[in-house]
Amino acid sequence: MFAKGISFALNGLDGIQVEVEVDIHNGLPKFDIVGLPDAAVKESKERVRSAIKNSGFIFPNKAITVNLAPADLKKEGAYFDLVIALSILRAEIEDLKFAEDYVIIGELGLDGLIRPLDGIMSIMISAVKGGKTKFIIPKENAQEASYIQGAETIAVENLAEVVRIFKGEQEIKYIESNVDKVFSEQEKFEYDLCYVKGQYKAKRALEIAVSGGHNLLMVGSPGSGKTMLAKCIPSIMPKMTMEEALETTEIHSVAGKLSREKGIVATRPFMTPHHTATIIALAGGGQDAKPGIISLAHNGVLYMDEMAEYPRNVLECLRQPLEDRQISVARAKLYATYPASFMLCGSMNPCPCGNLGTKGAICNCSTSSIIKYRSKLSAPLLDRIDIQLDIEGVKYEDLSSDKLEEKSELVRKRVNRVRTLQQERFEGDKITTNAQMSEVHIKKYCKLSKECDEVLKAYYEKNNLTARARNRILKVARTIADMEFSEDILPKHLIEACSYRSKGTNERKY
Amino acid sequence: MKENIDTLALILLDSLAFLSYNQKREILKNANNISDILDKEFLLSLPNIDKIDRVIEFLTRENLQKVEQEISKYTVITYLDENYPDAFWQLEDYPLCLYCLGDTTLLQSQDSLSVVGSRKTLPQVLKFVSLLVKQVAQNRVIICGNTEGVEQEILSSTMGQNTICFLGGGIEKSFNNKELFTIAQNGLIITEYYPTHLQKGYQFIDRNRLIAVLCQEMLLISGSEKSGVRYTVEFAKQNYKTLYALPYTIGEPSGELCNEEIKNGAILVNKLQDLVKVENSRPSLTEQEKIVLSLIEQGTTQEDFIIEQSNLSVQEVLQILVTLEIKDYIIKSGATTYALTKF
Repeated sequence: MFAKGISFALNGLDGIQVEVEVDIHNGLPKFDIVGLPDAAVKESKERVRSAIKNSGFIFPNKAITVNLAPADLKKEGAYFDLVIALSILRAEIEDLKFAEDYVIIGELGLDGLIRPLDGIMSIMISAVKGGKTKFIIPKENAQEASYIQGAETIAVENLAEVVRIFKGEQEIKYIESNVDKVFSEQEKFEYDLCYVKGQYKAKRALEIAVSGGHNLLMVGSPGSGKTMLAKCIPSIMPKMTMEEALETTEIHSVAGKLSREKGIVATRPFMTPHHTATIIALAGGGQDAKPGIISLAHNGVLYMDEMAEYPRNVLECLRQPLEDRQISVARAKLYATYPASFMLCGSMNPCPCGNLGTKGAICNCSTSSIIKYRSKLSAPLLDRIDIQLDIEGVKYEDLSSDKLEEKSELVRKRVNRVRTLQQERFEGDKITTNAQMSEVHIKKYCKLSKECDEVLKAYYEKNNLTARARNRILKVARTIADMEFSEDILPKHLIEACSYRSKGTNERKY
Repeated sequence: MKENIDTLALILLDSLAFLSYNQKREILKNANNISDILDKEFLLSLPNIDKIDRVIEFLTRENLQKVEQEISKYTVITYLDENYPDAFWQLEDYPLCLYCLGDTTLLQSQDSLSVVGSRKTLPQVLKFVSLLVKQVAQNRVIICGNTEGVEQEILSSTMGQNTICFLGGGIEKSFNNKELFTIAQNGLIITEYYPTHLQKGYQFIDRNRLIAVLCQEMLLISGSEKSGVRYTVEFAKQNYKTLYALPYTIGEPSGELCNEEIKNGAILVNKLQDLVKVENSRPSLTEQEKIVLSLIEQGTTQEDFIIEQSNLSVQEVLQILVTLEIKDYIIKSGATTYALTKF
């Protein structure tokens, strides 16, 4: 007796089709699984046997061979339990009308209950791309599956239910699509820009950074409000598009970080690793090459508080993803590429004691200790941070103005408009924000008039800037021009862009 | 040829880092001819010389060639030479050799100003120094060191023009930036340490005595009470040099020494005109720029307050501040504060 079913395995973010073949023949009772199974797959023997028995069916007392094809791919996880059980039953129970075009995924409990699995969204997206549209998945994964367009999905609770469905004894209920409801919920944010008093320049810089997707570094003394400002970023981030939401959800699903109730990441992620994080935690890896924090922050923000406290090698690992907007994780077992297009927001003190440059405070740090502290952030890394901002605390009672500060919601509306403008401009360029512009794009979209050139030249001579800083200034100027819906970059945009540079990033200047 | 051997032998002796200055002088004192020091028997006859074995090992005629090669890039002035600066004879511990790179005729200048200051100096003061030395270097020789802060500011402003830069270690060990090469092209780099000798903390104080002694006048830019600059000032006063100093507000740590010296009779300098003739050639300002500038003049120096009190938008104020900076009216003096550069 022979039966066949289709399931999927995960390789990084890609689902790979696995055909499960079951052959039952006469002989001494045995149960073998071949086709490079790992421990979790091998153990499915015991789960399948008990689940079949406890669901009221008879486990065949014969020689059973299960083959997982393609045979050269290493299979991991408990994705195949359900399909193996069904294939065995189908070989024995005749009227089980088993449709081979169903993709069947599920982990079995000993009592026949079907348990949820990670990475269902990734698998379904790959499967739909490959032409498979019918799925049977665990009930608890139903929410994330409901966001996949073009899939007919049945969510099931236990083995007996699946058998009933295939026998035709139970009506088939496809889960409803939730695509329209994704963004209907009003988002609530804990922090709002209207609670930040003063800090006008910083707020303006935040708006520019978010509008253009620019990386941001805030340098300031302790208590100057860096963290508070950073925590306001989610409240002004533009809405996600459906594509972006699915991309991010896929990664969260594979990493096992997806909330089962929500089933989708519809708000931009805001990841805040602690400075003790390791390279693997940040970049991804481990035995099974799981995505790291920077991939979880895909389409969102990676906020690194006290950036200079991170080990230098951890910071350096950000360089390549900041450039390529993806990260390749190679391990002995597999090689996976995860997207990592995030906005980096960092904050740090200007010197070890934190008082350098603060009005009325004395900094006792030696020059060498300041240089050592600052040089944790290497020049190539700083080159990738477009906006560098000095922040100083302001005493509240000193601020005379009692005008109400602007709410995040208003800023967010403006940000949304500027982002749409950029998406329209970059259509066909494979990028979406000004920050992602490469040399070619800068030449194309940041043409400078003669007047602008002179302004930039004057600023260069005053500040001994390197040629690398030029591109940063141009990108930010492009965003500022976009915020005023100006086609060309004007001198005033350029001058303002020049002001978002931290003077003392590498040397003691004050 | 004999003279050449004398010079090389002297340089060879000077290159021995394990011998102290006094021991070198002791060896030279006993020699009739300097080339005698290459003689093993003469060295053995010397009383009270430590590590005599090592001295004998190194002071050989074979090593002369090595030394000749090592110093080939530099001009070496020994105390035997005619162009050895007279000023150094005033020192009890006059340098035996001076290793130079650049224009050595600057050493003969009779009108030089040494500019000294500490590493921690306010940015608006650095700006003043930069403007001042550019003007002074037009017709006077400037003498300085090469450490961070004031001295680096001087070097990057004059780019070596009419500048003598004293190092606190061998030239090869101090050459860690391109700037020094430019200085050697336009001006002079000089040190009493053999090219391969390392920089050491105490050598900077020794170096300061040369700065103090060579100049005619000295300008004190900054320095706290504990700063190493106080040695330089002390040397200058002992050698009867005219001392100028910048004034500071009470409580400013980087200006304690200056105020102290002014009290003791140094000449107060608070405008460029005090030392050089200057013409104001700064570009004119727009109305809005004038508003912001007058706010900073009145003491509103923090960005947030300027924005509030000027009734201008954030972006306008930011643009104006950068423009004023380009036009040389203000300078960023703290994380979010600005200071005037009007002297």
